Amino acid sequence: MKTGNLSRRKFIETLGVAGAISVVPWLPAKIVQAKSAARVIVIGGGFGGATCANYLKQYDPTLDVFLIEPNSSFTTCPFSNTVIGGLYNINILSHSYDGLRQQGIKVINDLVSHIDSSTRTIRLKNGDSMKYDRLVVSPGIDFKWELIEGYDEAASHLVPHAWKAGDQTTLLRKQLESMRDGGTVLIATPPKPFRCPPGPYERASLIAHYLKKHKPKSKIIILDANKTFSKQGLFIQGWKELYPGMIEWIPGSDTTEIESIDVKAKILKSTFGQTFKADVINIIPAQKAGAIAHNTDLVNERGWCPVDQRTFESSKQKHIHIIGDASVAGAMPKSGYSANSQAKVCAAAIISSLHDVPMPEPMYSNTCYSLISPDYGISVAAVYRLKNNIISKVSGGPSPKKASKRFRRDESENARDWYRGVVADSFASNADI
Amino acid sequence: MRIYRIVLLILLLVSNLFAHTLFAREVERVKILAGNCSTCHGPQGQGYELIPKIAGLDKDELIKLLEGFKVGKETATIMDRHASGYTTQEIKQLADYFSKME
Repeated sequence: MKTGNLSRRKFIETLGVAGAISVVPWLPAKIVQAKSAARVIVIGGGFGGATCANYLKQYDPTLDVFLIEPNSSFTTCPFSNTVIGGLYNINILSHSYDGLRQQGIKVINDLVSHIDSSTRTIRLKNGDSMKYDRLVVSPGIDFKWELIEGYDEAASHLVPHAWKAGDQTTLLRKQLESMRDGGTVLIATPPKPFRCPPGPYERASLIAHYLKKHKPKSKIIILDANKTFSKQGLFIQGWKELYPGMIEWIPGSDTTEIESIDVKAKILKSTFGQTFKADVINIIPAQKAGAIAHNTDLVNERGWCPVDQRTFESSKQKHIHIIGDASVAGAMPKSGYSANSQAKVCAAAIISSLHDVPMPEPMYSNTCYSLISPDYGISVAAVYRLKNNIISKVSGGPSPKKASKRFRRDESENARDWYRGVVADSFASNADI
Repeated sequence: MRIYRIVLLILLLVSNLFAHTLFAREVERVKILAGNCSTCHGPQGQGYELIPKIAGLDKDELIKLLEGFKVGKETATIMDRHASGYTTQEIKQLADYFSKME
């Protein structure tokens, strides 16, 4: 073929014609829309946000994907109880975003100060504005500080919540280390729903593991805001076996509702005037969706974000999807694994919507491991499908009540493997445990 | 020369269409299903110490295992609780997907 006669200019002209023809109206919409890369901005670099950015890029490498997160690395809440119990150093919980950068995701370390859903624009704290085609908000939780008199962010530097991992985790660990033998540790749990339903009880277990070895005369009181808790039978059985007489669980009632705290004297007061004094207090406050969800009018009257549970698009604002702890996601618990699972479904929904093709029928799952001791693990697992537009459990449940020592040890090994897996799948990085 | 230009134009158009079809990605359903596995078994199905590698396993072997977990014939710590959430058709799709992974 003699193409030599085709000048460079003519070639470009021809190319231009071809380009022009490819956007004429008779072509199917999805082909036209796919022409320029759509931009998806993900706010929040926890399990939900990181996984969503990761899978958006995997499912469609042509997408322009941004992840906006104020911190340069993420410290996981999963496994933070092992740090509090002295099994690991806090460093094992931190994961950088370098793995995601290598996947072609543009990570910006800044805070989003404003979302304008009408112009599909976000504004960063540094003043920059960015447009989006679709926005994913994965802000995690914030605390309802106003519910306990005397407890606020400043007070949490004396009496830690340790429900966002990092300095708070280290602080609680230090307080346990400097506590006298024979001291009392009090854990106050929040009303449901809250992040990581089995978390407070795993925490009590691993603190008991530490105290049993180093300060065996000490006691742990769990002042519960609820009448029942996750994996309750398994926890109570494990405590009897491993830490007899050490952990006292006080179920929720009108008299145990915490009204106020004196963080200096370390005294809690209930609504009916009952007082609790302890050497180390861990208050896990009541929770709501992260601040940005409130500032953008994405929340319901209970402080969580209602979504279309098929796509995770906000019920209140178009083109904004909310995943993870902040969302109302049917039967799924607020866990890192749930956030990871929801993020993948959300990524598929966004890509299908951008390309105007039908979305695959979603499926979701969750697995939460808890360690009662380093070699005694229990789990709760579930698979979910959408039924009448609500995420509903179709299989699963807790570990069997009757099980061998070997079974519990295997589940503790699985817990560590689970951590390696969920970190790799979410952050494209290797966990060093 | 005109004919060459027309040929080139058609070629460009066709390649353009192909490219677009390629980019108009439909996320296959099996990827949604497999997403439920990768959280524990790793993004490449690579497995860890006790949680096994599932990538590259024989398809029939995988079907037998998963169906066994589902009905309680295979010994499991947690896979019985997961596998019973999937239909036989979905188990086949998953087995096919992971058997083709390295």
